[in-house]
Amino acid sequence: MIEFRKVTAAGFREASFSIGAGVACKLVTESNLDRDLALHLVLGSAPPERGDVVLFGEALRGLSEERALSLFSRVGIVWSGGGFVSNLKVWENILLPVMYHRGREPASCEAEVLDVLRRLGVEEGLLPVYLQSLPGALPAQALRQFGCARAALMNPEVMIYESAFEGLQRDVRERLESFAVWFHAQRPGRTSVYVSSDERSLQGVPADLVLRQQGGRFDA
Amino acid sequence: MQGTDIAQVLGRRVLTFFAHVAGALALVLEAARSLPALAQRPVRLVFFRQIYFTGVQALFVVTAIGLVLGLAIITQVSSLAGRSTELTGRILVWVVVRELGPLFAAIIVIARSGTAVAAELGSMKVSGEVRSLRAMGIPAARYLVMPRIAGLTTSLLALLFFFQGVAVLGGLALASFLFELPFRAQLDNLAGALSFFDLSISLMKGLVFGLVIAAAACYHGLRVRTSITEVPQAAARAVIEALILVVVINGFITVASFL
Repeated sequence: MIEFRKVTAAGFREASFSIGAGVACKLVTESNLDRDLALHLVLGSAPPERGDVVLFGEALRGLSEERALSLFSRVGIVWSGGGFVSNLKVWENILLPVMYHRGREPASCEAEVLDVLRRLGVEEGLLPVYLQSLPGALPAQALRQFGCARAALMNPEVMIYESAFEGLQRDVRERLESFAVWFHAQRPGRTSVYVSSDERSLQGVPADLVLRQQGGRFDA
Repeated sequence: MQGTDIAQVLGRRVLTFFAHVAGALALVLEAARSLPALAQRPVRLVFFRQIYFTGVQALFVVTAIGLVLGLAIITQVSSLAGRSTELTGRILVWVVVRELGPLFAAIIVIARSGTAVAAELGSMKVSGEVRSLRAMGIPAARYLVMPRIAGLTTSLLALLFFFQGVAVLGGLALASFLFELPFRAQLDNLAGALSFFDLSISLMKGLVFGLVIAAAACYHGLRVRTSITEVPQAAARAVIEALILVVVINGFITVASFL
């Protein structure tokens, strides 16, 4: 699903690894800078100096923007900061990708969103207020929970968690960890990638593969 | 600074300006290609919001400026050309419909929405929202740029005709109330002087100005890279370049229409 072929870019030196279908993988970088770089490379926003980044079997280098975007729509990302559009309400943000790519109506998504948010332990009493708020008004951990709902609604083949378990209250973190494990099992062949520079923050999620960055390369 | 240095600096500025114009033009073409995306509900929502912010929310300012300007022009023209002459109507058409209407509507939109769009897109770029959209497979050109260009241009066209209506009808009504000018006769003069060609010129100006303002705002907003301090700079550049282009294009179209 995600493959680095001798990728050289800033902190990476001929980094090579492959994360296959159905694998849960911890990708541990040496710094947040390298974590961001890894994500930029996977999302094609920072092309490597040398080597290739391959997504769903297609090298991103030389791919048309249209094709690259269609590949990205198969990936869900839970950003540590939420990654929301600031001028849309939280509810509109959650629905944005699924309405844009699948043309789904808001009413048809309600039950799924509520199910995910319940699993994540979002207080039901606060939900109407939160969902109708702009993202800037919400606490960081709520944004991460809602970001999770947005990514999950797309039923992605690859789910990437960017430092998703850091800086959360214990109960919220545990709920998010359980959700990640549950969600990974919900679709056969789904790949889950937990990216962080702090390996301790990933202790609560099991993984089939652990890739650690060392001297610009990744060792399994 | 020597003459050659001044020439170099000026030359660089002119080249930069034209590079920006080319970049903005590329955005307009990209937006035109993306127009079918308006059928998608999230994109349509951005389009309607842009119309609301640029068009509906500017109605009060446009009404106030239109009334005062219309009154001033009609009073001056009547005092020069007489209370009810054909010339009065013709001057009103030339000044309000062909020149000031499009120009004032454009200046109001530049001041209100050009800055807002550039600053909004710049902030979105700095805070990683554009990257986040791309990561979801949603291109900025289709979701952020095209509905803003389309919404702003549509709003400018509507505001332009609204401005002309308020300036002429409101100005005539106010002038007839304050100075006892013959409202009906003045209106007849205006209607007699107004041609389809005048309205076409006005329409063309509105369309081009709208595209120019929106493209400049989107282009400079999306050029912001990582620092929040770039945002006001981008907004200022968008305003200045849009103003220069609007004034130059206005002069060009006006001269061309008399050839």
